[in-house]
Amino acid sequence: MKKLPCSLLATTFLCSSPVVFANDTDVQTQLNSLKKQVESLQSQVSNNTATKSANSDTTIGGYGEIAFNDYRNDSTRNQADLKRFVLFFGHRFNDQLSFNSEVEWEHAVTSSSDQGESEIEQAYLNYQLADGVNLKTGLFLMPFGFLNESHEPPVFYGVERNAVETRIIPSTWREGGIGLYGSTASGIAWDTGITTGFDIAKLSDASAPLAASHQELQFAKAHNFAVYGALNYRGVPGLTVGTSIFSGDTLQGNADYRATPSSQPNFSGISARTTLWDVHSRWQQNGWDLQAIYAKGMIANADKIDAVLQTYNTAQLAQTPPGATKPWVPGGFYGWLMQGAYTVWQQGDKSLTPFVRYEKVDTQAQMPTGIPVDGSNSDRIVTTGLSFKPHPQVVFKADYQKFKDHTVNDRFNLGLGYMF
Amino acid sequence: MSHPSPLWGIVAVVPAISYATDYLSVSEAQRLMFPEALSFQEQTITLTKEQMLKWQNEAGSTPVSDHWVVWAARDTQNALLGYVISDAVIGKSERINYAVGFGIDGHIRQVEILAYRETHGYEIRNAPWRHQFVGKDVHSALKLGSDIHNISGATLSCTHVTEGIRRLTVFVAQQLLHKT
Repeated sequence: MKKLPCSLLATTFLCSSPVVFANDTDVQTQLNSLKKQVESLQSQVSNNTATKSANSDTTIGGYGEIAFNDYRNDSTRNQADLKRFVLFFGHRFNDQLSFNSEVEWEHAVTSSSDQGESEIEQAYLNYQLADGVNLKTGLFLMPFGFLNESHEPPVFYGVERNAVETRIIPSTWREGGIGLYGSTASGIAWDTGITTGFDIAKLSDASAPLAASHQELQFAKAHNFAVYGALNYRGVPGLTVGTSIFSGDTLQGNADYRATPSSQPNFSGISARTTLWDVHSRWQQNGWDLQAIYAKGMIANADKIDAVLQTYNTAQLAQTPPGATKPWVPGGFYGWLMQGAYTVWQQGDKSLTPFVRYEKVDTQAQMPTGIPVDGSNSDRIVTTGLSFKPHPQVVFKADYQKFKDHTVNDRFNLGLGYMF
Repeated sequence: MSHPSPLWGIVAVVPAISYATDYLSVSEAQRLMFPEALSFQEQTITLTKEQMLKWQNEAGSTPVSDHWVVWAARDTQNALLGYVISDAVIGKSERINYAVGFGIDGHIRQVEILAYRETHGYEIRNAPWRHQFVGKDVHSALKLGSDIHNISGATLSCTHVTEGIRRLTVFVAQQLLHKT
């Protein structure tokens, strides 16, 4: 059986070869054609040599920042901190499906006896459904303002993140869920989805109500879900005009205190829809970078929540010694900012950009009748300083922040940051 | 090339490395950039160390490859119309493939994004952003934030594509026009 096919093949080859290769010119033409094709492919690959490292399916990136705060009226508050050390890990499974993540360490040391934190800020799968249409699911950043999704130090001004995008829009704010997003040829980017929401019952800081009640997908109470939507127009180079909204019930069925109704506040039966929205605009052209944001949050039935808290806090204060009280939940809070920056010097990769920012925040703008307002939760802040970039991805910053309503917080800041 | 038509055929059948996220193949980009062209003559250019250094110094960023392929667009009379070069840069973490068409004077005629895989910054593909490069040449700044405007939220993608296009502009001037 083995010999026959060989001989048959040999016969076939010998017989057929004069026919197939009868024309030397054809052979040469085919060879030339194949040679050209190979060369073309080689050169295409060669042109892409610059991206050899990106040809791996797994990518690593990162950013970090170190800051020094010098309080002008109380130097005992001065501190230097490795604020963030962040690594991005991504993996592309195929043309459509990829994984993105952000792993963060804050304040240099993380242990049971230290103040540092280690956290996963993003971990989601992304699937490209069609040209300009993507599905994401997992833990992802909420598309609000400018800073939340783009928080690498070289892309924002000031050593510290601005107050509007930390105290009104929490930063870095992420939720677990599913989202559909994309972009049109006319420059409209859209993003919408269903996610986990806040847990207002655990609000622990009146100066940043949502930052103090976001769940970060850490055993997130999921009795209530939320919906979000964002629209951004970027059809004109350098211009962004956008708006975002998020809304969902946020008392989570009193899940936090259900097991201990007698010793904790009882929010059973109260609906607390929390809605946050913002409008934002940015204009970057000819060295100018102008930015404005307005953000407003509302918590429904704050009067009912605070009535429960009033009973609880009164009981706590009646104890000997007095027990810890919980902060009031605001009915409404808002903040806005305007910022202008201009690159005064640029040489090669290096640039120097001074900036000035004015912002106002009030995290107790609307309080239920009878609930005292703590003036420390409202401020007007003027920040002026500069960014020096020895490279577009590396920045050294210096600024001075004047807290007009609480001058005790006036400070001079120095910082460095990088992204790659 | 004395007989453009066979090579034209070759370029057309070259199976460009294809992804589902591709918007255009190189040959499609060539036709978009030079619709009047009959052929695209392929030539490879390998640079010496000295040429690489000169390129880097003028471009202000580091080219990694010393081996490049250029397609020369020619009309029915075999007259040179310009050049097409395809390249890729890393945006934030993913590869962005693009092609640039140059006129015979080295001015940018058109920029096309061939493939974009980043989760943000799709607006790079849009005509208004790409149109910023049209008419620029080796004497232009080609700097993000000055003559090229940023897309908020896609700074790294914009930076790296702008850097890449500036490199190609210098490459064309130094290797194809021999101006500098």
